[in-house]
Amino acid sequence: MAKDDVEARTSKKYVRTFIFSMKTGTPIEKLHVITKFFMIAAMSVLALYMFDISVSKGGPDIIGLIFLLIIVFALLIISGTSKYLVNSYLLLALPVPISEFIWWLFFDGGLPGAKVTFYLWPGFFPFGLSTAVLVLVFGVVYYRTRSFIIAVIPAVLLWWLTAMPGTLDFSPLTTWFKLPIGATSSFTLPYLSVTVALSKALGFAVLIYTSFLFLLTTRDTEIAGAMRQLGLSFKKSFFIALIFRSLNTLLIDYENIRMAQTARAAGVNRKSVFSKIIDLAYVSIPLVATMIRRSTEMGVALYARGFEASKKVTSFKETKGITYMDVTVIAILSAFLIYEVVLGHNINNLLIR
Amino acid sequence: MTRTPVLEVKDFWWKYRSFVGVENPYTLKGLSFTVEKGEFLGIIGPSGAGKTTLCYALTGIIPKVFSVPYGQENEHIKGEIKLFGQTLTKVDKVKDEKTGNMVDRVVGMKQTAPRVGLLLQDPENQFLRMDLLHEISFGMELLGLSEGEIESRAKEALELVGLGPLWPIADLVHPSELSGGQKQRAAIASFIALRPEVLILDEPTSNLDPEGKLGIIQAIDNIKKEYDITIILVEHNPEVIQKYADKVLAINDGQAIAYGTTEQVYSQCKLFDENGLYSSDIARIGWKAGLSYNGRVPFTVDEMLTAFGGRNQKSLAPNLEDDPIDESAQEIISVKDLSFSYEDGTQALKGVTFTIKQGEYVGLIGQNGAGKSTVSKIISGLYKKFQGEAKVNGMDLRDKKVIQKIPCYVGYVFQNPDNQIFMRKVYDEVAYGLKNLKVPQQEVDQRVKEALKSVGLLSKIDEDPMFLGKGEKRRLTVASILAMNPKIMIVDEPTTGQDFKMSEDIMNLLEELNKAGTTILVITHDMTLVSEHTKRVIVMHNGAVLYDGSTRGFFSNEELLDKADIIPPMAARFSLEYKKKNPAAPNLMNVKEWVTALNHVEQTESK
Amino acid sequence: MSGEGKTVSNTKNKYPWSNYTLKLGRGEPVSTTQYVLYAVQIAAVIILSYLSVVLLGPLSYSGISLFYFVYPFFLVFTMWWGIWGILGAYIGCVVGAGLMVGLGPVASGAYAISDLIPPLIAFIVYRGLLANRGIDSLWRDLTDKEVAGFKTNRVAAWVLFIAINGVIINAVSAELGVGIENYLGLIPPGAFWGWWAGWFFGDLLAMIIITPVLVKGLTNLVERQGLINRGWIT
Repeated sequence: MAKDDVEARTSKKYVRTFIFSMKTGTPIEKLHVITKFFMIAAMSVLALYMFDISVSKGGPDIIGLIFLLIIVFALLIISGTSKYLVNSYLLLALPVPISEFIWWLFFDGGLPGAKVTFYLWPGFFPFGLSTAVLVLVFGVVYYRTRSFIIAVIPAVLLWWLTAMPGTLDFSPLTTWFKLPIGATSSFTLPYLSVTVALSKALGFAVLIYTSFLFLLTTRDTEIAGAMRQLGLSFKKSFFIALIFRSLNTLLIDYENIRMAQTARAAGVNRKSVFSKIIDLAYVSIPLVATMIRRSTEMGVALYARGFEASKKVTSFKETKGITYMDVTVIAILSAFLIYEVVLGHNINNLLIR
Repeated sequence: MTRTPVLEVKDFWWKYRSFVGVENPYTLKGLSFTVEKGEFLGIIGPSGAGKTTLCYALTGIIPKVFSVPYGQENEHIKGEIKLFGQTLTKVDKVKDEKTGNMVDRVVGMKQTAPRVGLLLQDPENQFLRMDLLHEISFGMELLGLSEGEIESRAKEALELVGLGPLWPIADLVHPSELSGGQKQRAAIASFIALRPEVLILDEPTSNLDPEGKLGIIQAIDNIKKEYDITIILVEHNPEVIQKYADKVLAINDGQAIAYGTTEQVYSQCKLFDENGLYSSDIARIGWKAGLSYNGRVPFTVDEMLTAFGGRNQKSLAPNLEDDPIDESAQEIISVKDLSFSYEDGTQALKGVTFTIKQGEYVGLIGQNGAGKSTVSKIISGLYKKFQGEAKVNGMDLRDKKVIQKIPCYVGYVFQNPDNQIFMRKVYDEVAYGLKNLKVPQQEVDQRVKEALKSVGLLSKIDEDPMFLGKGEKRRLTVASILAMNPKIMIVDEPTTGQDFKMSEDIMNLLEELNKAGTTILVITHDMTLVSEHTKRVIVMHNGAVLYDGSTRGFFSNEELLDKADIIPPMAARFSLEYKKKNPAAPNLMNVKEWVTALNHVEQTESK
Repeated sequence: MSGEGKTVSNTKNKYPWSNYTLKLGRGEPVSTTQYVLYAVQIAAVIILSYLSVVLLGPLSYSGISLFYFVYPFFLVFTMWWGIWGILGAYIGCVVGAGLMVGLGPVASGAYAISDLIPPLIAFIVYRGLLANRGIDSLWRDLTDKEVAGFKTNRVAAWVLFIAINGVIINAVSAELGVGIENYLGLIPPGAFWGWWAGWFFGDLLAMIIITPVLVKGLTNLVERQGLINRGWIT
């Protein structure tokens, strides 16, 4: 490649993926899409296995799940996609593991074993590390969002999560001073329930962020190329590629339609939830109409390129070879799968015992 | 020397199929013409004339993609089209395989690609792959060319259309990262790479600014000369056709109304006027002022200078004075140091400052990507995260509550009507905004009908907007905002893809609204219309305001025009050229001013 | 010229929708335009599936939305486009309501089967059974008193619509979907019926509110373009 070409290539720091973009030149960009798919499939299987609560396998593997989560976040950071995740999906993704935690805590079907006490309110306001967390989180979120409500919710939640354990052991490290307010309120749950709920939440987090990792680091062209490599005919792989190409176009259309509705005073008067739902339904009508119109024009464009009469189609720079990096990643994940799933080992139990 | 005809159209008729409802009328009615090898044919016509349908017929898309029902071939197709001497489309007697009887069937070539390429108007629907490299190489992959051949042709094609710098990163560039103009260039490149013998282009530059437009057509002309390609171009802009086309076919209502050389066709000014076709400013001036060049109206500035000849410039009307701006009028739009960046980091606005007073009619102009639509969307409350100050009617747009109410004051007509239309009945489309504003039903009815009447769409009140023509859709979007009676109307490219008459009608409508008190901000690339209708322009360049003042002042300042990369309307260009030899001559901007001035000269000379 | 102003009749059969059957198709191959349309509709279902789950934030959990508004879309698309709508339902769920909200390929691929079943059954029941008994297989009789001059029975149409799609098929889908999630360990044992109810009512509500809007707003447009499939494939 000529020097100018190399410079032009390195100057393009980010490349568009399914959602947002990823940094070019990173190890994850170099992986084959089949390896990436195997990676998320393997991690999904591992997560599903690790949060299985069956006593015969030694219970859920929390350490294993934390380990998986660290790997996923590391990969997100290396690929340069973490900023998109934080800016857009973090808040959307968080309610899911949190809701999983709550559901499993209270609908566990009554697991046996030792009980743990949870304080809803300890009977005093603990001044300590938790207070620092409250002030810090509130400050940072308010600075970013300028919204009191959006800042208060995570601040109080994190304050509660740090306050309660600190209050439980009354350690001078975490609780410096106690201000008596109100009466003590607590409930007990089986220790196993807490472990299970935590494992489900962590497991879900692994599932979610692994999926995002795939979507944030995979280009739509890679999927089409992989299909060709797997022996799918050109027309079938093009069909799949067309689906992904259309995703982008439809998102733009959706945005345009919402803007057009706004420009026609859709948001001027307060509407009931029901009216808002109907408005959403009304977005779908022009979206589908646009979809039909585009299809006709794209059909014409395809015909004009000679799509219908094509017989022998060249595969031009669509496929990527499997490299040593792909083999290494697949080998490591396979080993992990064999260790956990086939041999039935449990990292949590190994390390804690 | 006549060359081999590549296309022969003989008394061709076409009717689209109806699946339900009333049958469609014929869209093409008995067209006949020939295109020779290496020729550049321009096709012109008002909106709805059948130009796109003709393009489809010339490529075989009609009837291969838009098929006809079995047994009804004769009701949909008549006549014949021949391509490279072979039948492309014709209804002929064929032996039915099952019955053995002779039946009427559509016969002809199965596929015209790659020998014939067709470039459509909307770049979004032509970008079929997910990166630039594969988009260019798509057609070649379908042909089964070798990888080496594909690579070299793709690189060459990108260079020919001015996208050569993108070659090293072509596989990394996603369609969403390309501007509309770049997508159009990429589409042209994808056909050039196929080395077609005939290239048909259906208004390929309608989204581009004049400079971009000329650049693309020049590139096409270069390719034509290099590869001896036959070009068929559908285009409204007379300057483009006059400069490049060998022959012109003018159609209206599916029929040919004129066919011949550019001279032969464009000298028929009355025909153009009657059929709502664009003739150049110079031709219109020449026609209305009775000037001639070699026995016909002048077409170019140079021809006009010759035709104008030894006219006594002193008797031209003295410098025209524009109506002064009412300084006492209230400020209705005010932006100060406005900056805006898109999510991908592109900075669209860099400290824009201007104010607009109530009742003004302002043109917002500039090249593609200058920031015109961005600033308009901020003023309309559609883009919220900006830096700097923006106020409408004294209300600060940084306040969320103000943004919510902005549609009550500002009506925004989008550039692409398809992005704005979302109801399934014309009536409902216009009524939508009124219902959101909680207007009583009786008043909704009245206002909808009034708005539709003012744009000439009352007869289509029950129609599905999807089945309206392009021009009708544009008028519908104007009506839907009109009905809301906004104090300010921002109209983004109201005349793109419109024929001359329709463009005039829309601009006249806006002028009437302006006279009635509505403040109008129009974004357009059509400098002729800017010169005819706006007294003030705000010129944007690279995200900032380059000029804010009288339209006349801008169009008479060559240095500014150069800096802004804007080509003034022909009438203004003529004025600039004329003033070079006659510095005391007035600055005239448009056809009306020139005709008035020239009639004044006549009157003076006849005394 | 002859032919102008004539009304085009869809069918010479008893009902205006009698052309839409359970045969394979028109006897023609899938055209390029149809091919593109089916790909684009799958993309639309993916986006709508995704939005169905995330837009309602606190009202959704682990891929279940209390207002799963994509459901009526793939039902309607299936009634128009047969197998392509069913394919769209499945892929839409796997990608949009599964992968894109973080359920992982195994879980997504498995529980999306529950989104494939309702449109499949609806298509067979309506086109194969009810269409010949005066019920429109395109559901226009939910909103219109007349279809192409034929008087409809709106009450019967609604009763059957809610009973078949809203109750029976929906219950099967909820049972299947929540059952699969339970098997995979995504649901606490004590919460099965809570999740089942969320699934069932989320789909039912969306179906009742949105289906008539879609049918009224779009079926005529699609039919006028000649894009309704005569059979399963074309």
